[in-house]
This record gives sequence, structure tokens and C-alpha cells, in this order.
Amino acid sequence: MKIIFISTVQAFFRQRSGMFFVLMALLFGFLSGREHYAFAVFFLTDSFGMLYLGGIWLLYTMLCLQFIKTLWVQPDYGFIYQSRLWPVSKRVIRFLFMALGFLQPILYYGIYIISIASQNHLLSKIWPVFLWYLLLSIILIVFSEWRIRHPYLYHSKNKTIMNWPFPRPVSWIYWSVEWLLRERGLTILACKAGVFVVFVSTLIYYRTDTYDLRLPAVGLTLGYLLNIGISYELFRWENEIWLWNRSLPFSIASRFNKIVLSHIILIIPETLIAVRYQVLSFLEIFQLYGLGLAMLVLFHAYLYKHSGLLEEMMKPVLIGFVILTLLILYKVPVWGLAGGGLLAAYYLYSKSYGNNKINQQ
Amino acid sequence: MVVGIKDVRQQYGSSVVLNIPSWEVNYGIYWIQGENGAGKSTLFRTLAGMLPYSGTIVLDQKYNLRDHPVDYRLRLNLGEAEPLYPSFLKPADLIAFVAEAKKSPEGQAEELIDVLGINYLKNSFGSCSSGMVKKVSLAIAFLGNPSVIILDEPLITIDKDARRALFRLIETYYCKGVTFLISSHQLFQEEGLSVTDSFTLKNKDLVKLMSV
Repeated sequence: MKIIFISTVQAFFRQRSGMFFVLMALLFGFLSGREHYAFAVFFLTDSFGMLYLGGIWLLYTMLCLQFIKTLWVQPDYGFIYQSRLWPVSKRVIRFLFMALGFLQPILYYGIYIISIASQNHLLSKIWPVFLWYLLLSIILIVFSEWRIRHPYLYHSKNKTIMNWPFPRPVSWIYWSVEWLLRERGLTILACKAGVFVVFVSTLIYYRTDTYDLRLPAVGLTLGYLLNIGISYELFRWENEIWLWNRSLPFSIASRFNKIVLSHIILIIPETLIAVRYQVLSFLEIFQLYGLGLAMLVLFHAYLYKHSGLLEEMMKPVLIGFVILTLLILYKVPVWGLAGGGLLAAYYLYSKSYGNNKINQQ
Repeated sequence: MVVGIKDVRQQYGSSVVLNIPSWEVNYGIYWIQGENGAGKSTLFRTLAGMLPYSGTIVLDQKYNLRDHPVDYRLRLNLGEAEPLYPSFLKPADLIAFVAEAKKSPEGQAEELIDVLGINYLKNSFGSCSSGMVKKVSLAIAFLGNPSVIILDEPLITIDKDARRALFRLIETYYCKGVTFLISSHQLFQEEGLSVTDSFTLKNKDLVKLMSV
């Protein structure tokens, strides 16, 4: 039981945590409590509301099915077919627990719907929720049973509806971000959760009174700096996971550009939240975005100087942030700090790249 | 002189792995030997620019790895002993990427794919066997217009057909002027490939062996 849960359900949430991150950002960053409530009431009161909800949940279940299908053909998942040796009843019960593990987001949302129904005296409307739970669990159990009885250990080259309709771009930056989302989703989730909290707190505080740009400059830069976990993973991607790329003919400037572009993409979500709050002008957000980017890239360049030793990085980060705060308070222009930060990062990177020690795998 | 090394030192922590005062080779096929852990892969990774090092490494008498990082890397390719690529990528993705980076001539990638029998271009590396990954690593080691190709244990895990194809490729590229540095625990002579010279890594230095 435990092995199925760890190898399949945990792997699903770990590998798909990038997707869950996007969903969480949409649900909690962009939708307000009132909008959540309105959706729940709609599902409960509209004639086809529960059907719509079932449809959305079915799409999610199909994603789970696709995951099981592709995961269990991996060469290192050959052991899973040993479960065929279990008695049928035991296998069904274990697959049921696995299905419930996959359906956790649905179960939690169902609890939310039930609580809204209870508040609005609509409990008579919630019976389809339990029907969906049952049907979707059965679908997952039956599919898992079918997979176990058909132990194909190869990937079909035929396209399925779940495949992207376009080929993967031949792009280092795309691959870096894809790797982060696929393999380091939990780090992204943890970092972005912290970033969102700091961003939202700063923006809410900013609109309570009349402040100049210095307040969000300090607050949002702190928020952007909470992405250092993701930046560190990017460093590991280039220097450990795919070390071989260092033998490719790219100049230092080209490698630095790739790092900057990767970071530009990574800090877009929180910047969109800042845009959504509508308390800062476009030019102000642009400057703050540039400052956050510069500080993060500077941190990344420092990783090269210290060969990726995080324990040696905390002190410079803290001292650097204190110095930055003082510079901001003494009204050094934000755009100037951003430009200076990027130049310093390039200087540091060009001096350190190729000299940093590598952790051999 | 095709490859020249001077005072190259490589260490992991306090442990010195390589300490080569001077080493030079001209055009040819060279067999680099050494017991397990002697430092062959570290030497090759250093030559490929993957690891930091102290000393001087020069290619074709003018491309210094430190001073001409791009030109140098365009002319030296490495096929690793145990290649590791991101599991979600597909051979087609990687080959296209490296072909572009190495400025590979048109049609070269397709030819290598055909010769080495890489008929699983759309499978992700995560679902490939070690032999399948190895064949892709060998294909990308030949991409571009290198003057030196390093093959670290090229024969491990690949099938007989790929082995024969690989030796044909080595001979073809050698005739075109490419120098090879190859490490292997198997004898090349049995495969009909004659080597110019053999070196062994002994006491962290490269030492020439008697003619083979």
C-alpha cells in the first residue's frame, strides 16, 4: 500500500506541482473569497451546475489516468506489476486508497461546497458530489486494474489527446523552466507561497496610506528574493543535473543572458499579482520588477562565486538586503539600483563561471 | 600539435585527481587507459570544459580553453561514459539542440541517427535503456566540425550493430582529419581499429605506453 502511495500518488503531486502552483496562483492570487463563494453557489443552484462541476472533476481525473498510464511504463516501475499477485479484493482496496490520494483536491473542494451548502440551506443539492466521488474513484480503480493486467513497458509513439500538439521547443530556457516545473515543483510551490504572502501583504499595506515607491521597493524586493530557492535549483540544473551542457560552445555573455531570461520568466507570476492590485503604475511596477530581477540574478551569480554552497550565501544575502534597504531609503533611484545590480551580476558571473567547483554526480 | 596540456591540475576537495605537467598529441587515434578511478573521465571532462581546472589547455595550437571558450568548444566534442540527460527530453530534442549549438552541417544529424540506428527519437530519455541513451550520446559526439572527438568508454552497453557502425564512423571521421581520444577497457585491435599511440593515467599523470 505504502509503496504504491509513495511511488505513484506522491510522484504525481511532486511532478505536477508546477501545475498545482499555477492553479493555486489563479485560485488564491486572482480570485477573491467572494468570487469563490459565487462559484460554489452557482454549482449548487444552477440546473446544470453539478454537471459542470462533474465535468471539471472528470477532466482532472483524466489527467490522473494519463499520469498512471505514462508512469507505469517507465522501466523503473516494473515492480508495480507485482501487485497482480495480490488477491483481487486486496488490490481493489489498495487501488481505492490510491484513487482517493489522487482525488484529494476534489475531496477538499467537495468539503468546501458542502460547507457553503450548509450555510445556504442547500444540503439537498449536494448528493451529486458523492456520486462524482464514487464514479471517479471507480474509473481510477478500473483503469489501474486494466494497466496491471496489460503490463506494457514501452512508450507508444502514437499521439494521444493528452500530447501537446506541437513539438517541444529546442530551447535551453524552455527546458530549464520545464525541468523546474517537472522536477522541482515543490520548491517552486514553497518559494512562491512565501513570495505571494509578502507581495500581498506589501500591496495591502501600501494602499492603506500615501507612501512613495520606497515602501514597495523594499517589500517587493524581499518578496522577489524569496525566489532564491528556485534560483538555486536553476544553478544545480546547470552545474549538476546537466553538467554536460558546459561542453557546448556558448559564450559567457550568452550563458548570462539565458540566466537572466530564465529569471525574467520565473518572477512573472508575482508581478502579475502586483498588476492585479492596481495600486502601482506600470512604470513603477516595471522598475520594481527590474530591481527584483537584478537582485535575484546577483544572488545567482554569487552562487557561482561560492560554488553553490548555500550555507555561505545566507550572510551575503542578509547583508546585501540591509545595504539595499539603506540605499532605497536614501532615495537612490530604483531603476539605478536595478541597472547597477545587473551590471554587478554580469561582472561577478563572468569572473566566476568556469572557476566554480562542481559537485560530481 | 592538436591537443596540448600544460601544468593541468584537477582536484576534488583536498584530493588531487590529475597533475599533468605537460602532454601533447598530434593528429591520430589515441587510446587512454587507466584503472577504474584513475581519473580518465575527469581528464576528459576537464578537456571538454566541464570542470574548473588550473593550467593551460590548447587545441590546434591556437584555441585556448580559457581564452577562446566558444571556438575551443566548437572543435572538441565529448561522448561521456555514462551520459545523463534530463529524463523528460527526447533524443530528437537533444540532437536538434546540440546540432544547432555545434553548427552541424545540414543532413549530418540525420545521417548519424540513421547510421547508429536511433529509431526512438520520440521516446523520452526516462523511458530509454542505458544503451539507447549511450547511442544518442555517441551521435551528438560527432556533430559539428570537430577537430577532436573524445569518446569515454564508447563500447559499453551498445549492441553489436551500433558497435560496428561506431568503428566505421571513427574511421570515416579520422580520414577527414579528426583526432580521437578514446578510453576503453576493451582492445580496439580486435575490432580492426589501429591506434596511433596509447597512454595510461598513472600517478595522476599521462604516461606513454610502449607501441601497441
